[in-house]
Amino acid sequence: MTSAAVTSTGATSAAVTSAGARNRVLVTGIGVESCAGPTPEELWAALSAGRPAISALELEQPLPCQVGGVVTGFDPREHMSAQQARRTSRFQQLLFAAAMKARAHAGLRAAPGALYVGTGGGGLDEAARFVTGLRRNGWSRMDRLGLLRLLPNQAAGLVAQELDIQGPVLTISTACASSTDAIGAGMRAVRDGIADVVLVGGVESWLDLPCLASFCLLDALSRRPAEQAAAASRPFDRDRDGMVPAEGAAVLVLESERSALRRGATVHGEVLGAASTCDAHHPVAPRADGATAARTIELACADAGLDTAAVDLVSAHGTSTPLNDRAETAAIKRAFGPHARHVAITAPKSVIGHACGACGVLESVGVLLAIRDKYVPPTANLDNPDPDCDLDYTPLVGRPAPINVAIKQNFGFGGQNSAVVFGAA
Amino acid sequence: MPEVLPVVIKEITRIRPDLRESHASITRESALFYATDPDRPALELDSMDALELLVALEQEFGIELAATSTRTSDLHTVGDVVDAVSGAL
Repeated sequence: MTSAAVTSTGATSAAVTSAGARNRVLVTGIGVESCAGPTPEELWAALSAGRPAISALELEQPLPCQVGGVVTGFDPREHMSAQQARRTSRFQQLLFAAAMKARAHAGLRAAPGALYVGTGGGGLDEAARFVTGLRRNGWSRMDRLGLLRLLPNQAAGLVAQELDIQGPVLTISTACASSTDAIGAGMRAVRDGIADVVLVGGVESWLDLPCLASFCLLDALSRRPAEQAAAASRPFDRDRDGMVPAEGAAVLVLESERSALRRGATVHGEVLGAASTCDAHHPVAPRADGATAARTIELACADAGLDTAAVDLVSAHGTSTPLNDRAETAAIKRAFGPHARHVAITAPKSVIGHACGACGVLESVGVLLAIRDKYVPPTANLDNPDPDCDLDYTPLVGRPAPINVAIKQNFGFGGQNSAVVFGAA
Repeated sequence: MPEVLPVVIKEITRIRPDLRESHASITRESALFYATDPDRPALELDSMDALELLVALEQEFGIELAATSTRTSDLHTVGDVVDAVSGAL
């Protein structure tokens, strides 16, 4: 990756800087484990080409949901000791790998001061195995280490132990908004001087039978057959029929300008602002009028010291479910006003599926690289726009654009809304 | 049924290969965690190592130590582990 180096004048050429005397929050490292590949560049290649990385799932028994975004070829022992690999579950391993990559990418030597991790289910996949063992074999034959493989905070704890992070190490679980909220928390930690260097991450491992079956019972997942895997995730399209589940992890290194300058760090973007709200409305459905989601966007922009009209790119949540995409369209219209008709929108889940608690940071990597390359990635599979979704979602083909400010927004079960505003490096 | 002590030693060194590499002497008297007597050998296992050891021994010998009165806090030496396993056979 090539990005701007911080100069001695602190001129990182960002179009807009954080308001007041607050610390600027720069992105100086990126680590990824995604269904589109294990590097930011491979993820970006898929996103920018609109090339879906969705494939058929191999399940122990048939489910209505047959496709997903699988992280293939992942060997935890490439990133951790044999002992760590033996004792940990997939969600811990994915986050660990992404964190080590982000740290190396940033060239960090000292321990980060804090870590914020978003995950929707943590080791929910392990929980199912744990309970199965109990029912089948009795408590005394359960996995003795099983609990440590499923508790949601055990992924962050593993990373903290490895990197000696002794400040705040917090796991945030706000469903699909989890890691977007983690970015916001990390931004505030750097901005407020709690730590100079912070890791923010997201992880999800939910492609196991019980998790998928549970979501199928909520009728939340696409039922497209395996042979239509690449066409299954189609946000804002008339023929969308539900989320396409994906696993993955991503970690960003957030750093104060002072620290980045001191280290001569390469800067990949700036976190300008963030906000979170709750619909306080329904366990799974968003508010149809998008009012609270819109408020989140407005608050994030206000936190960045910007008018919403300054936003050049919206990275939509775009779940490919009938209700969500319609409500998100309403939210964008409310938040951006007339600018909603002009702002470029992209829906990364059309390419990488829905990584639930990891989607915020994973999709933010796409935002950072879109800003870097001044290129709006397309929304794949948007063949027949839904008449109720009538904005410019960049259907099928991407395009160059002068992107200096972009917003990443994610909305989760429980009415969780979160948004982060990024600026150019 | 294999003799217990060699299996316990084998599993300890599998879990903690550094002990094998350092040619540490592992006997019945070796303290699992730490030794109050500095002249007594201590393996310096941690609680995760100990749990993993019990899992391995349960599988190796087909026993359920969790269903016995054995508590990990009662296991201080390699000999304690050997006795616990032997008692469950």
